[in-house]
Amino acid sequence: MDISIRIGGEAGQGIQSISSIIARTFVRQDYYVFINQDFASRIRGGHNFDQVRISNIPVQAVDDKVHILIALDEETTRQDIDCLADNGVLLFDGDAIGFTTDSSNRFSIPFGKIASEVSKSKIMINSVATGAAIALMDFELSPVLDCLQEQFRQKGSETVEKNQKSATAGYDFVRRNLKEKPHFRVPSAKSVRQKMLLTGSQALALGAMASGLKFYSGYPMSPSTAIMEFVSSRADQYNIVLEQAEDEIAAINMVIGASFAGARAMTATSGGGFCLMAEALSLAGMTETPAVIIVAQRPGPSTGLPTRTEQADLNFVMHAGHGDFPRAILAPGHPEQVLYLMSKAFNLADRYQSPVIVLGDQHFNDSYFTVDELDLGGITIDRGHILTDQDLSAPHEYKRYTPGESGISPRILPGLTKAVLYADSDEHTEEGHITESATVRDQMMRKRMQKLEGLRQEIGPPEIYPAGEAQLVLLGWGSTHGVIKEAVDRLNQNGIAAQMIHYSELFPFNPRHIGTAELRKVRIIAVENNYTGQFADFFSKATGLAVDQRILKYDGRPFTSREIVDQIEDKS
Amino acid sequence: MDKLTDKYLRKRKIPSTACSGCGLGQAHKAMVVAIDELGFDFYDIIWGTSIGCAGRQTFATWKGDNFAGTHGRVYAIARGLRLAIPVEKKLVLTVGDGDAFGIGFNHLLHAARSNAQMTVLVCDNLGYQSTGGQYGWTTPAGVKTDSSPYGMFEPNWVQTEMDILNVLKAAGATFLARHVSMDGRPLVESCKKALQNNGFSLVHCVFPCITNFGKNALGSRNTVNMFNWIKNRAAPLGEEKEDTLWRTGIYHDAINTRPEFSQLMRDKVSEIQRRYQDEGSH
Ligand code: SF4
Repeated sequence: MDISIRIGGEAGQGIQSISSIIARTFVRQDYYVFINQDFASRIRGGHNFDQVRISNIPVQAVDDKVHILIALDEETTRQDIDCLADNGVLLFDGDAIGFTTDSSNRFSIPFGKIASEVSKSKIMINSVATGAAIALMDFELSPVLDCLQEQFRQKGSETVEKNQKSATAGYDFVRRNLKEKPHFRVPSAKSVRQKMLLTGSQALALGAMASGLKFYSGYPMSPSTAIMEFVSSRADQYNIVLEQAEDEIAAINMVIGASFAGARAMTATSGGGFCLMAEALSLAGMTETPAVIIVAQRPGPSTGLPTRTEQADLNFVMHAGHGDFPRAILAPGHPEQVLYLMSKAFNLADRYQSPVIVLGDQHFNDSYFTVDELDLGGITIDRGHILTDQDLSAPHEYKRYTPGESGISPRILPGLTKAVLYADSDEHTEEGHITESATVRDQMMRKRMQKLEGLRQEIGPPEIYPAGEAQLVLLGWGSTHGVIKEAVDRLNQNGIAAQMIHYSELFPFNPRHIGTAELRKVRIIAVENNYTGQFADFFSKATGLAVDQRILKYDGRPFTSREIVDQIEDKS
Repeated sequence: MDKLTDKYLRKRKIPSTACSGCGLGQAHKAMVVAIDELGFDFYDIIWGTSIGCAGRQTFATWKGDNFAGTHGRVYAIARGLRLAIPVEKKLVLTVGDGDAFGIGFNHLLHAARSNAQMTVLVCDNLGYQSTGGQYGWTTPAGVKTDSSPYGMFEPNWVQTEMDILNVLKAAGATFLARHVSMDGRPLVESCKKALQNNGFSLVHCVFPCITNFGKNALGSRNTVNMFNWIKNRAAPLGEEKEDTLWRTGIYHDAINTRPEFSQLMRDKVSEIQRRYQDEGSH
């Protein structure tokens, strides 16, 4: 079973309240739900939609066909009608948007009138529409009523009742007036398991908090703001200090300051904000200060498409900051990995005293995923080599930049030992004092860059799915995980031996992770949400393998698996 | 403002993309009325906008030349423009509180220092509203936002003892005023004065954001309540009460008293050119 429901309308019409009730209803019933949010950069108006996909197997991508289209405005009936599946149904309020039809898959239901009659309030339109959609799926109503009860409990019993009545009225209206039997049937669940519905942003924030985040500083920027908001809303429980900065320059410098003093610190931004952080990134590299930076990508250049998605900042984060210095780059493909990857990000930052960048994007950050369970067992906290007074037999002899194993110098936290700490953004000696010596410069560059090799050994391999031999490989990274996996499944169902190679740990790249000799015989197709195929270039250079085709999308919207499959040239 | 709309604004952009009930339109309109009353035509003015509601919602509404800058940089862009456009053209910028007093503050101070001609209308929705409602540098004490769940407890820039307008005055601005968007005539008069200054003018105008500030601070999106909430906390300078947050009126009027940035530059250039000519003729 695989059903998609799109709710379209203007910003501010309550699209999300419909999608979230529907989603939660089915997650409770043990289904897998994925919600893609597509919205314009406007607070009110414009054309927006949420697309809820419900399936009995895990789904983490958008479908291009919609089975139920709920139109809250006229625009939706025009713009979105083409994505209706052959047996799909449009639900719309014929009274309100003056659109009439007798076609069997266009079902008019007076949302507004029903809401006013039942509850004397137009706001209840959303609950009427929710009830109607549930009836179309031939699903029982009681789980919806339970979700409404939970959702509005805090607003009092009257609000709960009004919403429940409205949902019931919408449900009954469809059951009474639908001429044929519903086209889809969602069987009710046998067991009720505890699944979770959460966005990429929430997963990233949770991952950071579970990894011992103590200080967060950031500046609002879509699509990263939800991370700050989530941390802010739970800061008290997790004992975190959050400071909103006056700009991204201040945000990352505060992070470096806090981290220098020993707190696990993080910031999150998008590409434009990360531009402002480039100078400080280099500072973290030179002073060897841990820092975790989440970059939730959106389409550029410049302000670009603020509320849409792209994967075009890979080259940027890989090269940002002046001078050569080590860094690591991770890019989760699905929320189940996030806890592990965030803990890895903090551990690598601390152990290698280097900046670590975690790449998300609007599609990943804003979409809701169903998660079976979050595995806190994957979280370890390794603060790296930090010396205390017990470790220092002669504190006055301590040197901050003494080259240790893999170029890592044991650090002390300022003010917490008897030793004195010098950190310098200029080239410096082992003591941390400024120097112009060519010899020392050479030593220090080698010491710092040695950490890059250490990091390379820590980076995990890509996910290869399914295992075994293939004739065709779809190569991807980050947020395209779900959709590439789905495309691979489709291809295999059609008898094409396809395989996904998906990277979520990108840099420093380790070419030994894949069998280059075997891959030479296989057709490699890169799938990326950007114009040039940034990862494909990087991959080719690092492995010596040719990428035979690039499927690229840069219109600000996520891929669907059909789109990928259709674009594959030469499937033989 | 139908007649004025025809005269100065692009039809396709009116009504703007702001939420219904948003007070931004009042501030925007006041500036257009001021422009009209001073007899400017749309080609006399180049209109720049920033990022955030104030910029986004006024962008490309102007019939004449327009530009949109990146977040906080529009003052630096304007200084560059100022040097290259004909002297008689005027620059008007509609920007937000986060843009001017946060991320762009350094550039704003340098625009004031150099006294570059620009009329900056800071349309203040009391925080970061286009990103969903986080606190900013003018968010009143105690107000809850998504990033200040315990209420705004840090000092802000509009406290009497540390007023941003005093900072800008010390930095060299030659015209400064503060209003709330429902001020009507006094707001228009301040905009007119600002426009008549061949130098750096800034009008700080607080307006009601229904959608996010209203929801966070007042717990509802009721337009009337939100308007009154702001109106009741504003009073003309000298008539302030204990709970006044915004003292309205002209804070600093030194219009046309200091040389303007691009004029200074032009004078210097011709002086140097003259020197070379003199040397050449020897
Ligand atoms: S979010 Fe607030 S400031 Fe922005 S347009 Fe809407 S009401 Fe106006």
